[in-house]
Amino acid sequence: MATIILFAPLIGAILCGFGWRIIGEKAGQVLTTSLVFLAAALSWVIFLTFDGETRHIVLLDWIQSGTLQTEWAIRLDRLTAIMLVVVNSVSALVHLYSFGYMAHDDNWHEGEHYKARFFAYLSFFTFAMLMLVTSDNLVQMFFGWEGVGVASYLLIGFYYRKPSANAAAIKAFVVNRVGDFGFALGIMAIFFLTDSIRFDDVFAAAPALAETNLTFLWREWNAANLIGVLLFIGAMGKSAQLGLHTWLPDAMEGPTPVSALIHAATMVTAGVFLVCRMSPLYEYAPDAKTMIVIVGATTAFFAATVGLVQNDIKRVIAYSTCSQLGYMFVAAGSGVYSVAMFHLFTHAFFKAMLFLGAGSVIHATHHEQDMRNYGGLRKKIPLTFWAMLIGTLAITGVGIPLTHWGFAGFLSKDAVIESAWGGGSMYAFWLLVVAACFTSFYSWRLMFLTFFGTSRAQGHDHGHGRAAQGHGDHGHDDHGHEPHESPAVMLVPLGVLALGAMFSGMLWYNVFFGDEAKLRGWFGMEAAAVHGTEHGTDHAAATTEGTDAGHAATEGEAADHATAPAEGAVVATEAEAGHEAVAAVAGAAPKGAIFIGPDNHVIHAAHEAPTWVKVSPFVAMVIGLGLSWLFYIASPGLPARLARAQRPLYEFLLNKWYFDELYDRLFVQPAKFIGRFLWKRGDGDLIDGTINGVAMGIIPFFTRLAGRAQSGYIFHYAFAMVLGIVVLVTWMTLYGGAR
Amino acid sequence: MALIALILLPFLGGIFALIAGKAEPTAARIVAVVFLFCGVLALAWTYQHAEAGRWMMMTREPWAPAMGMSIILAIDGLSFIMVALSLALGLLTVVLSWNATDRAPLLHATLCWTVAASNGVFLAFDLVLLAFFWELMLVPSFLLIAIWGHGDREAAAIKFLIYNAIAGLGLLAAVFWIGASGPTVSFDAFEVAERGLPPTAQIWLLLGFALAFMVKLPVPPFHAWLPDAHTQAPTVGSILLAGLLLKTGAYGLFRFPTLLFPQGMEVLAPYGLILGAFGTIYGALVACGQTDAKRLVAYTSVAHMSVVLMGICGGVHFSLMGAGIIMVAHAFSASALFLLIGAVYDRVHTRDLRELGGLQRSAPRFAAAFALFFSATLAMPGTANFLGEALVITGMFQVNWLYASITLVSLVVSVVYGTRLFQRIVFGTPRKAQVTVDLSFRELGPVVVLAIGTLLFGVLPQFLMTGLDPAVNSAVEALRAATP
Repeated sequence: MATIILFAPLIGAILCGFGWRIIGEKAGQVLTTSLVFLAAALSWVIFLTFDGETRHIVLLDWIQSGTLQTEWAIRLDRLTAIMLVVVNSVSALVHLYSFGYMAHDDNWHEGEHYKARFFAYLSFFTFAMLMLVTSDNLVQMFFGWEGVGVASYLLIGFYYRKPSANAAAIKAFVVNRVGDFGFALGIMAIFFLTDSIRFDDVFAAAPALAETNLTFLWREWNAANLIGVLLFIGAMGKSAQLGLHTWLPDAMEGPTPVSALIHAATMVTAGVFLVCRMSPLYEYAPDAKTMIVIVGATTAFFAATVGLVQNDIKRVIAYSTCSQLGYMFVAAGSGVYSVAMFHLFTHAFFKAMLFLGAGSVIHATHHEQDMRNYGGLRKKIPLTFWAMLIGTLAITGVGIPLTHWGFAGFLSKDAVIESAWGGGSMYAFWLLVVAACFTSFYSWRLMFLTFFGTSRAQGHDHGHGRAAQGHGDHGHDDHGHEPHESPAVMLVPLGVLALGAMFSGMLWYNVFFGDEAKLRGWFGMEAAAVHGTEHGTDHAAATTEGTDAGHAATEGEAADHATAPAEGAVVATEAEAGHEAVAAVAGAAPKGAIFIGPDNHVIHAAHEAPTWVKVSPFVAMVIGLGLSWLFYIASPGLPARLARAQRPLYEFLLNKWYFDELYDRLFVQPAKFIGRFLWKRGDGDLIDGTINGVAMGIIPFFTRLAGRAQSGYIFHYAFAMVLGIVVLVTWMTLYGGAR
Repeated sequence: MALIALILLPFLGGIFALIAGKAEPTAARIVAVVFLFCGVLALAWTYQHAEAGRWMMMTREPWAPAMGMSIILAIDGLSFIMVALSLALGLLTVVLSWNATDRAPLLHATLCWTVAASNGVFLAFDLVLLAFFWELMLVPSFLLIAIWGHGDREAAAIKFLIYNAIAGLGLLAAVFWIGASGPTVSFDAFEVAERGLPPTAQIWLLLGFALAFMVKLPVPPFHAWLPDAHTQAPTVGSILLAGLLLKTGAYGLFRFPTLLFPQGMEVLAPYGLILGAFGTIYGALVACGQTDAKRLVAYTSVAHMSVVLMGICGGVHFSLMGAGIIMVAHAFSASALFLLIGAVYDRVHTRDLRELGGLQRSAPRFAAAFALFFSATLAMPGTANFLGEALVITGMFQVNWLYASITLVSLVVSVVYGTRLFQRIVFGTPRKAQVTVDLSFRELGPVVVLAIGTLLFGVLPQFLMTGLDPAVNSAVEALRAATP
């Protein structure tokens, strides 16, 4: 079944991408969509029936060279099951939504076929993403990782006539590659040390890695921490964390369904998924985890501040995504991987919905994206309004404090904040609480500017929006188009996602966070009961896939601890490649999709958080809502006055902390300069000049030849060469070897 | 005998094509295809009758016994793959130039001769024979550039020739020295390897060999002939240059230093690594600054072949295996890119990235093909290029993490030039030149073949790896034995 899920989108992409001329554009769209819906349906079946026992489905051999043994294989465990549901559900809905959204597009001329290409790309993306989440080893994961990068690149640049879209596509690709640099190095380091890239082998070797040192950048590092940091750099690139985030807002140049699918719900969460997937390693890499918490919290705060002042509706949501990803990383870095997945899961629903809702607004207003030109749309597009309202309630975290009743974001975001508190990082905790306030502010600002007040539609006037507000006229844009509600194919996905945004938090709260025993069972971990260590004597079993190999239930003392992976005998097998395998497989991999180290009591601490901690995000949310109401409903002149009064701060936020400018100065301009310089000066003057000088100066013979060749004696010249070779060989044959 | 046929068939094919072309110009191409196809059959025959052991097949015929020269041809997985590549590219180029009008018989004959000479290089184990084929290879390539090239073709052809002929002298001198060094005069590579050469002499001899190979590879600073040659060569010439000639350099480096001069290799390999590391960054950066599409691809070749050099000098199993795979993968991807750019040039007579654009709209087949091979150049997983690069980097990590990092940096830069090439041609709106005619089926055939090769070896590389294994293992063992 997993195999069908994995390949259905690929088949759709190929048939639609290459065959739409034969089967027709419409048929291609229907085909891809129905295949993804099939995958989504099967994913839910797996998700709901999955028993937590990890399964490996080997499809084909891939790389078998020396000690590197890799298969194309599917790893089916709880993490995979969650991601399957997220990816396929959102993808299916986005496919459906795109029927409406892409039906008419001003970026294309009459009679141009773009829909089949779009759907093929979407399906290809889905396939690559599934490859990423189902992979059983790091290299296959890297395959998916890069595959989604390509799909994202193609889709950001989908409106290829727009220079801004082209630039954004390149930026996304390059910045992601910078992150991949770290990811690839991390994989190499893992392989170098453990002689395997299969997850089970790597997980089993994790305790040994924590005892190993590795030389990198001219100094010794703890291997587990170093690998953890390198992998996280990859995650930062894909998940747009501070420093490597600059591509995400620009990626909004792509069509809105793409933003919903790739740049909100799925691809950008791949980094979080990576950290959760590698949890058995991160549990032994405390420094790397600290770094994750700090980067995540800072990103959450940074992106929220920038989101406060953006005017493009999609960019606001993009920064909000960036910020929410920061939340997920904080949870993962605190060691509560299940909560990171929880927030990933709920976020996928409400953020996809916000984006699709924004798409519906944009669709309704004829591709207007500036919120300063919206206003009063509540009456015009009521269904979209209700959907967006649910999304906003979900993202800001509305619910009944101290109970488990509320919208999805209420449960998952509060769980993240409690985890941050439980993890002991006050820095992260406070930044997240402040960010929650900002989240509430900008989300409601979006709602108020878009749906409330009076219409400020000014045709395509992108001037100073506040001034436009002053006109307050009811005239709509020059084209005389009334904003209109979107068709049903666009509203149905919104409705389905709204259900997710409302209920997904409450339904799965206990298994993700609420109840530790249930959580362990759900993720296939061994109950937090008695566990012993099995001394890795049975290497045959240990090196095979067996997650259930070993774990003889000998008596252990740590009663409330999780699986303690066998520390067993570290067998230094001589690797074929000549280096000493520092950490040959020691014992078996821990059971389950995620791993919670024996010393990790963060969930417990989070549950025990004092009441003020549990209430703080709610209070922050209410403050944000209140301020937003004050700024945009009660006294609309206030924001402009504040912006004038705090000019530098406003500019600083509006320009996104000047990251783009900084990078341009630091990297882009110098790189361009060096490339040009090397070519003109290095290649042209130095190498060519020197060698030509030598050739033409000292050996006039060649210049004569050159002269003759240019006068048309090519054949003579070639003939002379052949003749020369023949003479040489003859001479060789007759005298050459003689002493 | 089959091995001799592998060289002789394409060679005769060229001659007969020329003769047939005198009578009926269109007959030449058929003759060429038939002879090349017979070469493929001969190769299949060697596969069928392969012997177990290190060499699949070996032929020894006396030539000038008194001078210690004989015809020694041998084939193993590495040579097999390279010969297969050469025949495939030969066929492909003949098909591509099917409707050529300018001296078509001579063109097809020249293509056959290029294949014949490079097959000679891939099979010869008598050193004089090797040097002979090495020099012979220059002639048809020279003709390809000089006769059917564009623009300043004579100058480019001469530059190509001067560089490679002078570099070939290094090989020749070293071969003579080796021949005269033993108790009896012998150019038998296996015998020389058995006997062993004095360690200090190995260094100098290796330098001679390496000069020839590295200029052909080419590695900066020996690369200056390549951009010009590629830019001015006709499409089929560029394909054979990138797909075949560069590979003879890589093959030479792969095969002979570890066979003949393992101790010399032990001493010089670190310098090779430095050169390769420099070359891959240099090539990638310079590629970013190009405006001529072909020139850009030429510099990417420099970058990728520098990675091959690093892989070979790394001397560990993974890096050598990776180098072998890049040799094949790059032959596919670079050939395909040259083919596509050539096809664009045929239509609009410009390769200037500032003038092209909007192919996506007007020529979707073009765009799809570009997308695939641009991903291959970027070493996207799933393509054979990824596998090669990944294995080399893995090997580098075992040698020194710094080289692994440098190779990874070049992969980051590759995105810059890759997206530039891709977007300038495929995205945007046409600036000056509008490509209105999509790929014809005659062009599409070779593209599809190259695409299948790229993806197949990326997803199921086992055939390739099994083939390369013996050569890789003996190189590793030779180096291990040479380590004091």
